[in-house]
Amino acid sequence: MKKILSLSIVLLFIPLIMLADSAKTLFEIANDHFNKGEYEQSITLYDSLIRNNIESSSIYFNLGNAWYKIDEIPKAILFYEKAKKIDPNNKDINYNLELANTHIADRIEAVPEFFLKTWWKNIVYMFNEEEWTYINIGVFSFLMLFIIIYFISNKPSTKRFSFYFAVIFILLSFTSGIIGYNSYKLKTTHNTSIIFTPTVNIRSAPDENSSTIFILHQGTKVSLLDESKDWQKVKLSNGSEGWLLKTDFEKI
Amino acid sequence: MHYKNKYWLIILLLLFVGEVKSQKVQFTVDAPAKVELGGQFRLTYSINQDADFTGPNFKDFQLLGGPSTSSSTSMQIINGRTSSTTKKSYTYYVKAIKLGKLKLPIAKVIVNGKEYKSAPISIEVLKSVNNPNATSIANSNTIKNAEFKADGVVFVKSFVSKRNIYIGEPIILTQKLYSKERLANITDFKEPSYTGFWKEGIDIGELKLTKEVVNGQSYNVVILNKSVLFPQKSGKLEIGSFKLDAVIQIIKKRKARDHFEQMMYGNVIQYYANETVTLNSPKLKITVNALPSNKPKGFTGVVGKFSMKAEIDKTELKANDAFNLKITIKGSGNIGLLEAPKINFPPDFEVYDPKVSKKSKKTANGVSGSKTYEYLIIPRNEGDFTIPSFGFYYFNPQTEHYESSISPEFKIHVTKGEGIVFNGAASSSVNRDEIQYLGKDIRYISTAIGNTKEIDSHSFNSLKHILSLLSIFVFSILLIIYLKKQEKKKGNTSLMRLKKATKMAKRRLKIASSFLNNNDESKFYEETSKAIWGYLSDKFNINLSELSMDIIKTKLVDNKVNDTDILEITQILEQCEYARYAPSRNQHDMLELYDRSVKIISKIEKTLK
Repeated sequence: MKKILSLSIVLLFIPLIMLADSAKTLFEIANDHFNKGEYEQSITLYDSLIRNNIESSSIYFNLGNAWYKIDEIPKAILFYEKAKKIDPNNKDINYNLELANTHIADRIEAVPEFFLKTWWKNIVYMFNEEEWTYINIGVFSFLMLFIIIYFISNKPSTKRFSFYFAVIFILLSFTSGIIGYNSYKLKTTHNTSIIFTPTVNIRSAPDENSSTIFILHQGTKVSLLDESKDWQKVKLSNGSEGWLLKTDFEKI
Repeated sequence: MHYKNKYWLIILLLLFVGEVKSQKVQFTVDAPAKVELGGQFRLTYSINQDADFTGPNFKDFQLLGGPSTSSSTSMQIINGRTSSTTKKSYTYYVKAIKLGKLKLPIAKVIVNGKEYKSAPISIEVLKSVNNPNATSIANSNTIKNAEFKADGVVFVKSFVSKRNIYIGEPIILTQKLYSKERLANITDFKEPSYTGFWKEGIDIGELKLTKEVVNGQSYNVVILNKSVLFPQKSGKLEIGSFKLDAVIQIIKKRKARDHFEQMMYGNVIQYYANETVTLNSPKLKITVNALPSNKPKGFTGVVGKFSMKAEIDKTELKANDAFNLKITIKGSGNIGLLEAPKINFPPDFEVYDPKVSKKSKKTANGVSGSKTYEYLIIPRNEGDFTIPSFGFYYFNPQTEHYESSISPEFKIHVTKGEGIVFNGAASSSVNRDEIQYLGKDIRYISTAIGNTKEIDSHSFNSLKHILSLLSIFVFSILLIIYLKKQEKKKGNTSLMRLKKATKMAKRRLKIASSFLNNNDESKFYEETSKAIWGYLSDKFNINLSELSMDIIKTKLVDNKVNDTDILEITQILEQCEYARYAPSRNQHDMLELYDRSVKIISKIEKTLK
């Protein structure tokens, strides 16, 4: 039974592994183009990887770099953000993203976060989503191990000791589960986007004739809220909200 | 005329007669035959004797002054005959106020109780043509200058171009000085009060003297001041009276002082004298209508007729380059109060305060001119921008409607500029941190493709994840169940035996004790040995058949039982075996053995636990 299961898992990953091999060569060719300063070619190659449904933080990071080199800052920011989503703790990604953000027009003062939220975020970003999954599985395995020990041992001291550890690991597997779930939600939901239109009027209502509340420029990151037909309600990191056309931004 | 001469003749005749018949009462009236209307003249009644004079009653004439009396006495000696003549005259200053042939009022004198009446002389009052003073002076013997009266001779007046206007509609106010006399100077001009008006002066240059005919009379006219007034509120407004002191020169006459003067200028000398007159203009009432209530949005209260022209010099430029928006508003009306039309510039534009230039001309028709606003605009970011069309709204008093002049909409295409990006118009200072960044380059690309995944794949909550957790769980449960089962299989007998061991031992010992009481020696030893064997067999989970003394010894050693206890057990067991086959022992020995057995079992039980 178990053998069949593990076999099926392996079979499932074979095509991916095969793909990864050709993807690797493609990626390296793209990197060569980048090194020669042929950024457009490298972008098409990186893009072809993504069109083939392959992603990795490195592909996004390199794409961001290539766009940055040809001075398309909004695109660069978009791909850095995508890379960050997969690998939130990567120093290179964060550095380049911060650098790209100095080139955009809007300087938005973020509302200070509640310190617990910041802590929570730091914890979530400590590992990427995949790592959290492994942590979760590992912690759960330990939990089960201690449960087994508890049930099997005859010695009262061993029983007591394994009971305490089981309790600790129940808590750990719950927290790792919650954090992992959070990390997974952050990765799979696309509720942030980057503005692509050079100058956008943010309106008070989903209507061309409504008054302009403020103006945003390309490269600014916004959170997505409600939508209404062609219009999208967005929120800035400083808390301001308003409507803009869906054609004005691209989701991360 | 003829008739009049006759009178004169009669008077002369009478005089002549008087001369002959001295001391005859002569009562005469002296007045000009003709006077101009409004002219002043002297009316003199003379009598040649002392008399009581009763003044006349003026009806058709206005008495200005008098009577002033004078008397003269002359002595004549002719052919030794001395005759003296006394003359007394009463002079009135009179003004003709009615036209036509008028009878002079009659005066009376009483001489020696006899009453004499003055002759009923009539004079003709004509329409005035010339200076009235001149005639009156011309006919007078004694030169007395009339008191100067300003009425109708010198006056000031304000004129406005329109009396019924709208708020903000300009009117021209002209302040004029009229004079028949020569003007020497104007001093102490006091502006009227312009409550509710906004005033703008018109430069009229130097004061000029012009001629103007008012009511058929010609005047010297000086335009003192011209200004444009803009009413600021509705209702009945009043332009107050202005005040000035005019110095006019009037001709006065006097008699020649000496012969020399007489030779040079004649008997009467004319000269100019300055007379200062304080003049007040009448007030003016002006009706100001409020503007109609259907004011358009963007109307700032400008009244007149205007047209606006707006133009930009570039429609395509790079970010951070500048372009100009020029708005010219031309027309007539209150240019000074014009405000720039409100323009909704795209917020991204840096718009500097406009350069304003104004050209205005104030003419008799009002104020006209143009005002130009020049905006310097710098788009800070790329993109397509629109300056929406804006309007200039005004009220046209001619058509009595609001009118507007609308600009076109300007589309501006801003391409990417050079240099650093501006962080909005508001933030002029860049952080020091960010400046440090500007010189730096991005970090190099990663050379390894890393962990590739399908797009939007996720490991958490994935099949792999769930299956892993589930399989670990199931595996653990199965493992527990399996181990438990194994244990049960093994432990079913051993565990039970273990538990039963002491119980069985106790029961066997009890049976043994009953044999002890019955003194059944062989049965007692048999039971005791069974009890110990059975206990040990249960304890070590070994069948009785397989049990031997050596096995028991090794088992006990394995379970860390004291050597002395092991020895004791072997001794007890040996004693039992021995006694079973050689039953000669007394009861005391049996009792001792029994106690030892109980002790050792409890002891072993303790150590084995």
